[in-house]
Amino acid sequence: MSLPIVASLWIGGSLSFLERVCLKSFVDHGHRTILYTYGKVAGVPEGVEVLDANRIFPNDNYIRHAKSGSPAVHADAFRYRMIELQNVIWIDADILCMQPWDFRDQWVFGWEKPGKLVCNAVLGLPRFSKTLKKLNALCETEYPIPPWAPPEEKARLEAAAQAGRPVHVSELEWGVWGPSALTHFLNETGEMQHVLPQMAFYPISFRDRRDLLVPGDVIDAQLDAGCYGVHLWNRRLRRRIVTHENGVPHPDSFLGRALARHGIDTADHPIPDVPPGQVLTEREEAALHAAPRPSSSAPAGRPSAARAIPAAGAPDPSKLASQNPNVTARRPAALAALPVTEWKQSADYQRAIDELEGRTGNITGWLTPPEEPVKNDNILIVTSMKNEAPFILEWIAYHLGIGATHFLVYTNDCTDNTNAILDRLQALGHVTRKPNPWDPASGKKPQHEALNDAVKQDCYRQADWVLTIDVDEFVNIHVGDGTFADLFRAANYPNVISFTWKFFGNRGVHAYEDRPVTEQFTACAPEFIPKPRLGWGFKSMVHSSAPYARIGVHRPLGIEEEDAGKVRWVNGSGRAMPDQLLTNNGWRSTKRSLGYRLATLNHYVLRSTESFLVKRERGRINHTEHDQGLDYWTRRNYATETDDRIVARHALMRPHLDAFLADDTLRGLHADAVAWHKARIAYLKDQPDYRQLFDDLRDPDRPDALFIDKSTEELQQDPEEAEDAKAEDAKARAPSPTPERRLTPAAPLPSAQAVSVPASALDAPADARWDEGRAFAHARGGFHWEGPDNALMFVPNSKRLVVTFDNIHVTRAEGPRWPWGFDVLFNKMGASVLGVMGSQRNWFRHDFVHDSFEALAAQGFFERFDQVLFYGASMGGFGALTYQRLCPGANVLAIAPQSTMRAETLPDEDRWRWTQKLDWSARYEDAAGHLDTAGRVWVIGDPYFRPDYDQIVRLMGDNVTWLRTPFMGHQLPNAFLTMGMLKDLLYGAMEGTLDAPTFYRLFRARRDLPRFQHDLLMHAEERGKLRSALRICEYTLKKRDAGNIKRTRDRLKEELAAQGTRAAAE
Amino acid sequence: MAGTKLIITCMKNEGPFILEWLAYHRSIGFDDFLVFTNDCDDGTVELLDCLAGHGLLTRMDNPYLQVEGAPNPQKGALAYAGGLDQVAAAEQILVSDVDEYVNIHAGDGTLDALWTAVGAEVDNISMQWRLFGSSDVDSYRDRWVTEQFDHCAPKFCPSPVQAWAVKTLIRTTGGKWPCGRFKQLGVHRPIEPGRGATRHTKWVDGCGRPVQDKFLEAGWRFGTHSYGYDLVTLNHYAVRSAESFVVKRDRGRVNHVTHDQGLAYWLRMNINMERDDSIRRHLPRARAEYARILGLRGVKTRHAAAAKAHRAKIRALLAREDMAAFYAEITSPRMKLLSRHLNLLTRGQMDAGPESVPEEVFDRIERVPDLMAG
Repeated sequence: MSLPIVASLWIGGSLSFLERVCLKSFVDHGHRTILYTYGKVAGVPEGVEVLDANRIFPNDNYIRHAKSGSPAVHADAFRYRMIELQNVIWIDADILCMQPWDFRDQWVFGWEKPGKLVCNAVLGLPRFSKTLKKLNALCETEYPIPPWAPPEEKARLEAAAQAGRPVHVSELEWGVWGPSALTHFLNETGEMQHVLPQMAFYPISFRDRRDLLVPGDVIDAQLDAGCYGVHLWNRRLRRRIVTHENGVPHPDSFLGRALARHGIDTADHPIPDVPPGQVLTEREEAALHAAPRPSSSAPAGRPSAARAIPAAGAPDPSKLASQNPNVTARRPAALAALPVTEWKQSADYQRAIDELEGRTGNITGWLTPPEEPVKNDNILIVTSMKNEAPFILEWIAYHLGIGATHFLVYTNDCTDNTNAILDRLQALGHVTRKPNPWDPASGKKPQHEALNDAVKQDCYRQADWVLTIDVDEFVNIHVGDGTFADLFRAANYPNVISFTWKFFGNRGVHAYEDRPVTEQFTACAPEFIPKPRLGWGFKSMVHSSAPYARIGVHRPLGIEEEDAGKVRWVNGSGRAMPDQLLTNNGWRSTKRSLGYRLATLNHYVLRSTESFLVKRERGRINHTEHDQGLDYWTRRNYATETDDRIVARHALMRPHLDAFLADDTLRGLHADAVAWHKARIAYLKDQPDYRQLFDDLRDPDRPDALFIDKSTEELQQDPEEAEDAKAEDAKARAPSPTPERRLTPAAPLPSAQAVSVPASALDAPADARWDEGRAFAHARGGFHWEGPDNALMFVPNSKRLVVTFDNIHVTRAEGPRWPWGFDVLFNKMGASVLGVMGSQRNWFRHDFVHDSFEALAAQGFFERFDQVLFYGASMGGFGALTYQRLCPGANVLAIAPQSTMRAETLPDEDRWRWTQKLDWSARYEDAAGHLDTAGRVWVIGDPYFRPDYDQIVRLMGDNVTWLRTPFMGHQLPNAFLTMGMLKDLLYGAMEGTLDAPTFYRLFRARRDLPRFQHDLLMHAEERGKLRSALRICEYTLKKRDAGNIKRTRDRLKEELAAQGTRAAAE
Repeated sequence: MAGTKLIITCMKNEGPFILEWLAYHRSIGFDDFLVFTNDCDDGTVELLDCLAGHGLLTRMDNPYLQVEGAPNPQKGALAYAGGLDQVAAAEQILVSDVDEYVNIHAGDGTLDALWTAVGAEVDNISMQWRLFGSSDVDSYRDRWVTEQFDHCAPKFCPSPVQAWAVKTLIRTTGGKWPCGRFKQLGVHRPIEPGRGATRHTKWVDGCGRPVQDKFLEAGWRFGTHSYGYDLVTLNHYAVRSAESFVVKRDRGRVNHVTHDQGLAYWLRMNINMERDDSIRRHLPRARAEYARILGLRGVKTRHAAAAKAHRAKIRALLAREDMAAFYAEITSPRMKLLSRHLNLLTRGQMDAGPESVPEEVFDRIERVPDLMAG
């Protein structure tokens, strides 16, 4: 049976990856897929046929919803007309196909809200359907009075019509031609009897739509074999992907995996960033493009599709994401006037960051010029310190140099002369030092306490700007002369600026020297490090005009929504920050908000190896309970790039530093600090544990932090446990091959000898081919029972057991015999194995097998294992499905299995005729009807191979998932082996995680099986689908050079050409 | 000994189409055929008699003129057949025509598979027609009907009323009459129920579901509640090629001699809205049987003669001005287009013929992409 044709309509714009993956999913499941469009649409995935929508519904009276501007009303009318004219199933472009739609009936629709609403996102109706007639009749009138409207509404519409002012469809409630009409007419005609359950197309409710983006199997766990498609709620989801996922769904989310499964690249066709409800009418669009545009960047005419990345980052004004009145598409004039110090990193990272800047530049704007002059005179830096004495002068001098005017420093528990230095600087008028009011017993954090206190200080109140950074953080400004003033100018005078961290690593600087840190350490991370998430942390400076409730370590907090219009917040590229940042309290840059072009926050978190010992002893300011050990170092030691732009700014620092050192007191204090630091280093290096740490840190083989990827939030982990895990990690991450995946080993099993042999077993060895396995089993504390034609071999290994059954091919194998799949199951997966073998192809029809399983069950054998999987193919599948009933809760993986070979039950089964001589009257003659007690059962088989189909349909049940392998026939295990997916199947089944999406993803590999390619080709030709056949040839030839395929391709081309000529002649 | 599996049929000038039909139905399990002929002049009788000589069937002249009160040849023949030993010896009986093919989807496509699928206790299976249109084939060729024509009516096709007519396969073992618990063979189903027949007869539709109670009493077609083809379809090639249809029109319908098979009939019955080639899976078996029969002495030449006569008839008819015009009309692009969109016509337009179809309908359908071509 050929699958139905599916078709959709796309109005406006190019397709994003969301529509692409949905349409592609139908193509990939074997559906002929059609997309109707008005005019040219970019991004149509391969395999989808594009047809002119005017051929169904001419565009001359195109209708948009008045309130929303949505074309959905038109799309409603379109689909009813389309299915009246053609044998197709309508699909919205946000339905993801999950399996072939081999419906028996031509009624194809499902509950969105069971018993209440049938959605029309999927709609198939027979062309003679009464519902269809009524829907089309309804759409004939543009002034409908919906029969299902509530009485008052009906009365209102009727009155309006009477009065000669009928209400147009575009002014009615949303969806008057849509789901409510469909639901009404289905009920009226009785065709509702054909409705499919919610699981069929709308298993994920609107409320749960965000789960589609959550990593893990939260969605898959909700789907079952009755799920044919998943409605993705595109209109809302696309917005969320832009605002919360940086435009790219997590690769391990349901959607992310769908993208991978169907080979859709998100980068090629990003989601255009248009705020919700901002679908523009044609008039508005025209007005927009007629408006004058910024002269510097305006390309002529309409900007092309979203994929173009203007290097200059000139956003299309119509695409600006921000609602903020202070945001514009116009670049600040000063930005063009001021020089920007460029920096180049390794090519790949440079490309990534350029693309990112380009992409954000396309959607974020710049600040408008301020309405009145802004006072930027007093710039206060607030910080907390503990034992930082030798590093203070450089830090203060540098920031004075670039424009800071005062420092508010909170100190706690200093044992070096930090306090004395600060006090001297206070005397010189640069610093206000306060003891940190933090109470160690309070459970609060010192830095937070300091900030809470800071707001009460005069210097804070007087400041125009407040910047909270630490003494290892340096603001490096790349625009103009490198001063705050230049940055303010370049960004059109913002009131919040966030600087993103750049980690500066150690790069072999082991000894402490009294030289500027900013000069000694120029090795750093590349700018594109979205993970670890720490890498893009930012710190902010906040102007007194910014509306916020309190200052946080990273950013202003508590911005009220009504104040959003007063916020002028830019990132390190001087670009407006996304609106949602105002309320989401984020403290890390994202792919949407990252900007490094104008300023970087250089973070010298490690400094020299020797200094790190002191730092470790001190503990971190804000995370006092954390240990700053080897792992802390490893995760921050980024040194693959070099950025010495700050050295060029030393000219700004030098006069201040010189002035400090010209002050006798300060010079003396600094010398003391250096001496103290050196002494501390010497002392610590004498301590065995610190000595060890010092040696470890200098290990030249330690990988750069860049190569230690760990997405988990380090700060949220239990420090001790995390420490161990990370040390392990650090070792494991060294470039060694990935270790073989193994099941958790477990405590040794209770001796297997405790199981007693069933009476029907033979005493003597039955088959010489079993000798080797028998010896192995006995040596490993297992058992080996033998009957006349069968044997059960058990070898304990872990708490997971796989019961594996022979198929007819292996029974005939020569030489020593092992259970089917033994090597993978036992050696690779580390499972305990119970192999059920045959020396004859007897479908296990012997009392010995029945007795053995009953004996094992009776003696609680299966209960010793945490998990049990019954596994087999064909005859083995019969075994797995049949005997699992003795181990309730076990999972079953049966490949192309039989349910029974009993002729009375399945008279059409004419394979393996000799099986009729076996005894099918005794126990365990039929697997069907005994699957209720199993855990999850996966049956894999070809729905188009009739003998297997007839066997498998008998097995269906709630806990049974049929994974379909169309056109693969019966010989599946070999195909799976060739495709390299057998092992993944086994893992999935063992762990219970196997599901349809995973399977079909793995199963895509079949496209490269020659056998499959031939079958598909033959099938296409038989059905006269020459174009499909040609596509199959082209695909195959891309993968391999095959003479016969080439010949077929040439022949097909000729035939098609001949057809074309014929058609043209007619 | 088990009884025969018999098809009873009436023919008038069906010569070129007999062999395929016979071979096909033999290949799925029918083993006896009773053919009544009337007024043939195209070699039908000669071919049938030759086949009868090889023991494949029984041919009789249609005795309808002798049967009292018989309204038409088919009913007369059936009334007569009820008294024949050949019919009494049958275990299964189907009254069918040479343009109907029993297309069994269950199991391997044989009668046995069908009975297995519906269950041992079932007496009657009413198989629903699926109307097959001309599939845009204009010219007659001596090729298999089952291969040439795969365009058909939609599964759900409540209009025209003929679309869902049934023919009934009867298992006779349940009662004392030749057709089981019913006294008389009917065209579509056994009629005149004996005592208790409606209570005791197990009667299912083409999906294996019990028919509705009222159908047990009477009825010759299904409605929206029991339509369906899960287990079996009766493929009904009512029009075949346009050329063959011209011959058919000239011949008159066996059962409705007075009706004109004109444009309206073509419009109603030539339905090309979907494709169904499910019968193809049975053809290899049928082909083997066809080859065997064709190899029997005298068959090949008589079949060729029938085909030749058919061609000659076509030529003669198309030489007539009125027939040529009719042929041009039914092969016109507009008629072909309409045959794909019959759902857009009202019942009135359907009965009145293509002239009554308004221009807007053509405007709409002319530009619609034809997806059936593949």
